[in-house]
Amino acid sequence: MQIQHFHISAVNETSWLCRLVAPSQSWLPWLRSLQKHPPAWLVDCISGPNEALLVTDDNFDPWQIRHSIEATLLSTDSLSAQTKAHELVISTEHAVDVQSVADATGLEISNIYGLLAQHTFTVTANGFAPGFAYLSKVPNALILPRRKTPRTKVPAGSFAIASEYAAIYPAESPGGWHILGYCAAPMFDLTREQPCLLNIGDTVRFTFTGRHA
Amino acid sequence: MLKFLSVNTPSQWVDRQRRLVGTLGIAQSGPLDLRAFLHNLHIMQGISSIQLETFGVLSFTVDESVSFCVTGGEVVIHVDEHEYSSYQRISLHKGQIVKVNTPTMGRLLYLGFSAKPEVIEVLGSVNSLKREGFGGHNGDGEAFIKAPFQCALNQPSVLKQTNFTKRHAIFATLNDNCVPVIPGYQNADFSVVAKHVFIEQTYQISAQSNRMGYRLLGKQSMVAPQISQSQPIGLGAIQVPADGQPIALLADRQTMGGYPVLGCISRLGIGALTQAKGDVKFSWTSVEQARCDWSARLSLDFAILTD
Repeated sequence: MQIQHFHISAVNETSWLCRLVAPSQSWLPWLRSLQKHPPAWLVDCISGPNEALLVTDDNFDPWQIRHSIEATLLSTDSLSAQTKAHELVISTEHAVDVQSVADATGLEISNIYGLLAQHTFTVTANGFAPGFAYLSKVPNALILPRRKTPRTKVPAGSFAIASEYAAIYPAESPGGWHILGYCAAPMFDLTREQPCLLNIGDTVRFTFTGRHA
Repeated sequence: MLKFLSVNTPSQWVDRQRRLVGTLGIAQSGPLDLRAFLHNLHIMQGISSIQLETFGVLSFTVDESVSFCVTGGEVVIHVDEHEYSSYQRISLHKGQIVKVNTPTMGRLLYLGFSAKPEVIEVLGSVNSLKREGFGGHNGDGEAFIKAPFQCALNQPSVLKQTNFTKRHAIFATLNDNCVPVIPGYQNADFSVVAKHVFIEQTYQISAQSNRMGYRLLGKQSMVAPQISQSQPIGLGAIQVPADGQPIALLADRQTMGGYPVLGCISRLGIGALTQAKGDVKFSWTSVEQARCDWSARLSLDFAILTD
């Protein structure tokens, strides 16, 4: 991945939105490397599936942004690219939206879980809430827009899908995703060395239990 | 020891910001009005790196001599029977009682000491995030301090009492309810009509506004384009949800957002928005102009606030 593959724009005085012009295998390793060995000028990094917001130090010279990002690309550390493979168990007892998902997709309920269980997801972004990981990519047959009316409270541990992502809500929060189960594993714990269970580049496979599995 | 005798408005400890927490899904947080926070840090010679962000109406005392300063809005401060103002470096002796009134200009105040308040740090910062349940004076996310409340002031010192006589030049800037916005994100996808509505009308700041975001109420709503993916959200982003009324996302915002964004408010603009007492109006600026305006204003301010 080279600097030419980025579209870089300043969104405010110290924040830069870096979009990938075309998908690249090097994107997630680069983000992990930035996280593990941040350059001195970087004070924050919020990463989305194909774009990242880099926040620079107050004293950073804005004219140096391309050069500085290029230096991080050249120093991407392959060791930082090491990821974890997670196996998570999802109970389908509280799948409050499974029927509406079945209706919208035309799939049998058992097929919904069958498709999700066959799939290996990759964490392509963290955000929205601490420990909230965007898992790409939901099988095409299950891609649905968010619910028209978001719920004001989605319980912690809810396994849900929306658009091309799956996610597990780390804490109770508002949310408009389709709830298909419950995961007991804590997604965020400040007492852990790495507070988020699922980090950029990690892979996740799901095993479904309960009456719909 | 610092003892708060009364705290009658939402008041919480803040420092500059967290670092490198975006990948955890956590906002950097920090002061809402960075300019006022930096004024305080400058006046207190770099010591007041932890400050109380408050809307005023509070009283406190100390059991050891220390200096303090209030920045942000213009406010009357009483130390026993003596009257002072914000933007004065004031010496305080054991047992004296300080009363900070409601700001007469501006809304937010920053109270800093020539000492380090002993506040628990979580992920390298005292900034609380109630939504996430961490940070704050106890480290449990409870943001607002409630009297009676006390905390240790470590390494207190007494600085020269100073009356910055040109401080009125800073108060004069608090009247500016014009909020510059740097176009960005989906700006090009908003219609000309939507952008015209945004710039031409005045907005009222909703009572539901908080450190996460300021909800803005205009007579006309905008028609916003749709976006298919969540995106990383920069400080000051103006998000336009389906109801067409913009939300300015501030220090404690969520890191990702699923609504289209018109652009980001400049740093000076965030100060203007959070200090505004009446309606606000937006204008466009460029990022280069915003950087120049910020540097120029801060240089001028520091010149005014130098002994």
